[in-house]
Amino acid sequence: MKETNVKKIFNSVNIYYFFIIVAYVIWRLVIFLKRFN
Amino acid sequence: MLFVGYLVFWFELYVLDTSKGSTSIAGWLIFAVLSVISLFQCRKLLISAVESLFECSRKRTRFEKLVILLCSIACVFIIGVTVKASFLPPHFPQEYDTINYHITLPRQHLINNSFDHLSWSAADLYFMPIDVALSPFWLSTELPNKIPQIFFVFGLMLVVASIFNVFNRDSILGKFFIVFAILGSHNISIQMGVGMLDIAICYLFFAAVDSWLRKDHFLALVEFNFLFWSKSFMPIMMSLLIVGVFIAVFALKSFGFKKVAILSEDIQGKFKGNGKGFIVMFLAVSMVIGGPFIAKSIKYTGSPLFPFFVGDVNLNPNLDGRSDSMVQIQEVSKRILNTKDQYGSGRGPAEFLKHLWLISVPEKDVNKRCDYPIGLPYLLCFGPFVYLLFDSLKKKRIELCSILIFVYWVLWWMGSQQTRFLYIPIICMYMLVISQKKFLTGVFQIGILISLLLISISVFRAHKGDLGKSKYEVLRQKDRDLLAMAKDVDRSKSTKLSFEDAAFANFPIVATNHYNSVFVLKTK
Repeated sequence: MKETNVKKIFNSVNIYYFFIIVAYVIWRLVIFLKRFN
Repeated sequence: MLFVGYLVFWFELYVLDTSKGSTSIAGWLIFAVLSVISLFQCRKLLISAVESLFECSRKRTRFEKLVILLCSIACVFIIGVTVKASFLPPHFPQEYDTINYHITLPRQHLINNSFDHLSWSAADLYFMPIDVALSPFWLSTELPNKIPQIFFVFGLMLVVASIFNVFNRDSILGKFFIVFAILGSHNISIQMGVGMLDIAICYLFFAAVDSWLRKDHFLALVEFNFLFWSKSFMPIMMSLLIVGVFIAVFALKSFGFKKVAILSEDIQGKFKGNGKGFIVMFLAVSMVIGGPFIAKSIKYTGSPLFPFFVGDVNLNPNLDGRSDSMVQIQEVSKRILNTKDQYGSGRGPAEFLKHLWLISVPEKDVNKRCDYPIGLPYLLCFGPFVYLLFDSLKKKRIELCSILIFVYWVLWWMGSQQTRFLYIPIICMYMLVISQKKFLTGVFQIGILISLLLISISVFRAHKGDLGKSKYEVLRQKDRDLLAMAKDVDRSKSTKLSFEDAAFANFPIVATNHYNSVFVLKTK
């Protein structure tokens, strides 16, 4: 049961979404911080 | 709204006295009456739609309910801020086109009570059926307003959800998230409440598809006609799009592809209609909607599509191609066409790969390279879209929506690379991906929520300077000067101005800054 849930959460499309969200948020953060330099 | 406004414009132009550059409230009244009648006719459908929405919402998991609630709160905030902004007159730098020609030129025609070419304006030779159709709404208040914009925003969300419903009746979650994805797209939300026409043009595309699917062919024809003639490049763009999609389908069929599908469902007569009848009707409606602009373009430039083909095509035998005015019009048309290369960073393969990321994110506060960034929903949907594209190729299945996105994107890449011209393929991409239950995961939902929260901040930042200010306080200094001039200006002759963005001039003008503006022609 646990294994199935883990598979559900970490299937390939979710990994793609996760990395895209992290990359996007970091990019926005860097652009935001650059404004103060 | 456009149909009513278009008829009211011509009536007011030639029948009523509009010399003060204002229109009556006839457009608003007719629009309100027709809206109430159509809402009354659809009342049962609307009630059952709301009921099924609430009923299906109850079946969601606690996580989904929470995400939907938070996303809805963000959407209400975004819409609230933009609705408030739309009641103010245009004044932002990005509203230059509106202050320059969307409002100014129909207003000058109304002041002159004539549709004759304004000899000082190159932009007056553009195709502007939407501009003239909206002018009875823009100009019915004391100062020009942007209220019609908000109707197109609501309309866009409704028609996209309606098309989605035709193909995915059961996916209530999908209907929520297609609306959330649209509002979570920065380049769309930032235009809400701002005087720009791209949302209206995008609405017309999806409204025409929706009307066609609901077998209201005449309405679809009118909507498609407004879309087709909305800008000078649109007839070329739409023709190439239709031809490109047909060529792609034909090529795929010759490679053994058989099943034709749209939004994951096989097409079974959904787009059937009388082809010949449609073309005849299209041409007839075009005479009304595009006709006056084609005629004006031919009369003064020889080309039916100014600024395209000027100097190459001359359909007006009375026009001397070597005259001073024609030489000037040819120069201006070249300069206008060259502006398309001001955006993007080239057209090579490396630039193509780079732009797939860069169009979604800001580079320096706002993304000047390709206009406003699209935002996170596009990035989330792009991966699944590429997967679906390859999957349909592997299964030898023609996915019309994918082909449309692909062909549209190629045409956009070759033209002016501004993200505001990508609304149609991006919303198609959202529909295609969100229609598949397997892509609507919890992580996707969190991504859309993050996007909506970021957009809420951006939209608030864009309009916070206007909070608590009156209509007059937000105006640019030169617009205040124009209002002051209007009190004692001599209306019997045109007043010379050294700028062309004069939407607040309610008296006849002639702009003289031909040396620094591509929109102004030299006059004697």
